[in-house]
Amino acid sequence: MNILKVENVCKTFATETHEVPVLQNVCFEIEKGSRCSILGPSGSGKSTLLGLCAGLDRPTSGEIYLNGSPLHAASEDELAAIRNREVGFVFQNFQLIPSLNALENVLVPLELRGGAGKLRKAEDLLKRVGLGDRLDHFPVQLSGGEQQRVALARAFIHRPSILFADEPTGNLDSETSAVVEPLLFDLNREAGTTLVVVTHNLDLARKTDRIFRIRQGAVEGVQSL
Amino acid sequence: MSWRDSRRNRFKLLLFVLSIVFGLSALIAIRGFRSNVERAIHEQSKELVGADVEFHSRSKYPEEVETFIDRMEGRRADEIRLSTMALFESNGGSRLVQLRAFEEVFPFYGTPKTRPENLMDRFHSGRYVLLEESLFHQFSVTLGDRVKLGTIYFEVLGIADRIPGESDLIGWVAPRVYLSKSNLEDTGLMQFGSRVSYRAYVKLDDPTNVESDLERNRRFFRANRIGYDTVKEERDELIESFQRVTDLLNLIGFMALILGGVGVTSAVHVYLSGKRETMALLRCLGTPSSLVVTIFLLQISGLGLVAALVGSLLGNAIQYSIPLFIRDFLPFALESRFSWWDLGIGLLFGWVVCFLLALLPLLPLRKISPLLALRTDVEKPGTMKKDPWAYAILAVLGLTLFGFGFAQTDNLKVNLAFSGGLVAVLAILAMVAWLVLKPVRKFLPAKLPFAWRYGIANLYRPNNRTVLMLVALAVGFIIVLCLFLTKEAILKQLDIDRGESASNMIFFDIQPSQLDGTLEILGRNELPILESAPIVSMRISEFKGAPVRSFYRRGPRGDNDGPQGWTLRREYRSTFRDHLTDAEELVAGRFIPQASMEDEPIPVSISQGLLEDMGLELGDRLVFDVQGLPLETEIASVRKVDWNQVRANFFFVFPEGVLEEAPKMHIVATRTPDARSTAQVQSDLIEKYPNVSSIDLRLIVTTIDDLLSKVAWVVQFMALFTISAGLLVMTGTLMTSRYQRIRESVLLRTLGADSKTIKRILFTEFASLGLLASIIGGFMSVAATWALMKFLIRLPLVVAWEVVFAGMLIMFALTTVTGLLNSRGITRQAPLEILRQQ
Repeated sequence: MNILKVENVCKTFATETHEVPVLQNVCFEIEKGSRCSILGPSGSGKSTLLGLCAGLDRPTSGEIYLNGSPLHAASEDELAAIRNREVGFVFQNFQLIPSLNALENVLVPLELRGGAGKLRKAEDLLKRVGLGDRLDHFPVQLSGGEQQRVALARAFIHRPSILFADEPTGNLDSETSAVVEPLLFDLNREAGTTLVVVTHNLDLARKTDRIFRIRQGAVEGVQSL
Repeated sequence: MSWRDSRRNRFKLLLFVLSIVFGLSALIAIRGFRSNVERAIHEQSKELVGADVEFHSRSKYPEEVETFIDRMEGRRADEIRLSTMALFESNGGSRLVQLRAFEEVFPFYGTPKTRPENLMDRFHSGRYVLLEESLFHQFSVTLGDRVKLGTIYFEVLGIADRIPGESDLIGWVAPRVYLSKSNLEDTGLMQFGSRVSYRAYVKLDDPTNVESDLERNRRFFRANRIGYDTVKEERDELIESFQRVTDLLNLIGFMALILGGVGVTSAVHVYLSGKRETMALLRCLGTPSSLVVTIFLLQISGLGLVAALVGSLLGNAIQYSIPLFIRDFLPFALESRFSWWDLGIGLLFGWVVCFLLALLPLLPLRKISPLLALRTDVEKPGTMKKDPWAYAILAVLGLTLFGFGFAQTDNLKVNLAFSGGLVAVLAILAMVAWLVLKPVRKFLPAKLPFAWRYGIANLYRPNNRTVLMLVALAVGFIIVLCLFLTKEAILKQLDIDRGESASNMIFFDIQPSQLDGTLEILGRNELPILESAPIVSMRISEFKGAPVRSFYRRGPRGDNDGPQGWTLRREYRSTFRDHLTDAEELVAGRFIPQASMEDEPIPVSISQGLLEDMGLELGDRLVFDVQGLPLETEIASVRKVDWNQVRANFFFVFPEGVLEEAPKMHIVATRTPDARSTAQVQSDLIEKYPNVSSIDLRLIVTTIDDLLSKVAWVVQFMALFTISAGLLVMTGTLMTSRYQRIRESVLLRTLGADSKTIKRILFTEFASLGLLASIIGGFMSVAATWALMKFLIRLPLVVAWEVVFAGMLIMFALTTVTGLLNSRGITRQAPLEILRQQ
């Protein structure tokens, strides 16, 4: 069963003088529970594609269905509800909220759902990523690797159907990447979440089941591993 | 390059730098106003007195004083002042007024300012009066109406706007009525018991040495209870009192400036934080660090120059408007003049302050490592904590502010107290803000809705500068609210509706033969007699066995270890009775209700305050001169008197059986239910006994309310600059954190927050800020009012909580709205674009 269906999606950005096509007639489907990666050089449109698939932006044309919900036709608040229900995110630059401590950052997706009293779950997740002793630390008090581990815990806390990871190790040194990378895949396996990784790192892409190669705004090929 | 680099942030930076405009313009305006006032006083000082020297006394001048004045080479004009009731034919109303009856030759300098103009020749030619303007409004008087003074009717000739010899523009308790001295005798008001004072104005042929001549004879005048004022004394006193006002306004202006200054430093710091990578890159490309710093220094100082220019021009413009607000308080004409010098000073001072403030956050950047361009997260920029240059700049900044403060106040002591007070106030406020902020986060209930908790947590966001915003917002608010509260507290002391038993109308100067008739009139008007007391005038002639005159030789105006001068010089109006009133409490000795002349020394009761001022103890003796009759007394008891109660209170109370036969007057207090019955009883009394005066406390409350409102308005006008500076600092601070706010809101939307949640979070953040600022402001303004009432005004504090809460509500709303306006459009930012930015 497909969790994500992308049909003839085009995305164009308009400047003052002309229009820049970023994605052209992109089509693909991703099965529930699978792990795939979108691989391509800088400027190929992979992050734009991820944003569209996650409901962070709307396509210029085409249709996107996430777990059956038509993202292309949803309002901003409907998209927010879908993201909260179905989607988890891991960003290259961690994107933690500086005024909240590690535990509070992890709890945000649950709290936005109106769910309270999940402290234990958040604490367990932080322990799972090795930060059991840093619960009340603020982002500025954490290293880059630690911040990304908090971001991983936040991504999984609400058990999303699909997790989008945008260059998850792009801002980390190789030593730290070696810790974060397996953690991402382990947590994904434990949660049974569909994983979509956007990267230009072939080694990371090879750890997924399928690779969508993207070049100049179009899917160039799909490689099953 | 400096210009090119600033292009993206020019407007934002300018806004930050403009934070100091309000403070600067306020200070420049005050500086201009002060020099205008001092120039006007110097130019018009002779007109203020109307003569070279003025003598005054509460009784007729003794023969030797008359001789002294007559021996002075020049011309003399006499004036008699007395309080009496005036009956206005226009609407039948009456009011206690101060009569000023002066001779035609007065004033020797200056011309009385009247409406219509040039009335003085006609004024002295018949039975005419000039009235203070308030009487025209209060009694619907028109020109040509008649006013009855004593037994005579006078025609109202016009309004007396400014008469030489008057330093106050309005009569505080009783408005003033002017008439020609030649008409005074006919009114029949000059009789026993009238409270008359005498003035003699002298225009000298050669006034050069008048001060030293009078100073040589100071003891002679003091011994004869004669006061005098020269042009120089009057001028100095007036300048000093205006200096006190401008000192206060300066303090407020400096607060606005310092707040703005902190805002500038803070904003430049945040701006430069965003420029670190650019600086590192420039250094990577081989630019020396001094050039890098110069590039940004040029940007900041260029904008500082703009701010200084705007501030100086605005300040010069404002000084033209100040006289409009305080015209009613000025006993002289004030003309504002543009001063290039003041403009230059403002420009230089504003620019130097801005430059130094901007220099502080620039200091660490001169040590910026080129490596930062490559490794943002690893290379930390330097701090200025251990940098000796930072301390040097702070010292220069302090000296600049102190120097400008000195130039503004012309007084080293005032400036020292002023600088210390300013720093202390801001430090205390910052501490209070920090103390309030700290527990909020710690004790934030976990069960609060997410948006609330998150909004409040945002106050603790790194670089949010919440303490700065709280201080900036609270300062102006405290000044404004403190003034309101002080005004309300003073008015509450005069509150005439405190209870059915409190009097609101007092009749005095009642002759013994008029007492029964007065009481009968009150009875006919169905008014209660709340108090009736005999009053006997007396002076102290011997103090603990020594003649009072011997104390005059001991030095000017009383010694610290002896009785204070005024306690021996004044005339005492004492009473006799066999009981204490509810405004009195016995604190020492025994109150003796009855005695007789054979019991000398007569046991008397003294008020506690006077006992302390005179340095007396129980058993000490005083000899009173009761209108020619010496009477030896002994302090038998001490009473604590509640002077705030509106009733007849006395320094000395004699027992019954001693003063009954002495010449005396009576005072009667009553309570009228409304203004109509007040007017009726006043009218009945003035018809039968023209010499009997009355005070309607309702009118006094209205007058004081009006006056306090005007005074408060002037200070509040200046405080608006502080509030504006506070709001600008808040705006600047919010603008610097706007990007962070956008990022967070986008992130929350990415994680599933709808726009309502984001708006709720923003509202909670600004509402919390407003709430904290209003709590701090409310609390501190009550504390400041308490200090003001206790140490300066010396009245108990009655807090007008409705004013405090209304002020807090306004503060809360203002902060919340300003915050929300600054956050417009945050929810409309495209998530993907923001998330992809570093």
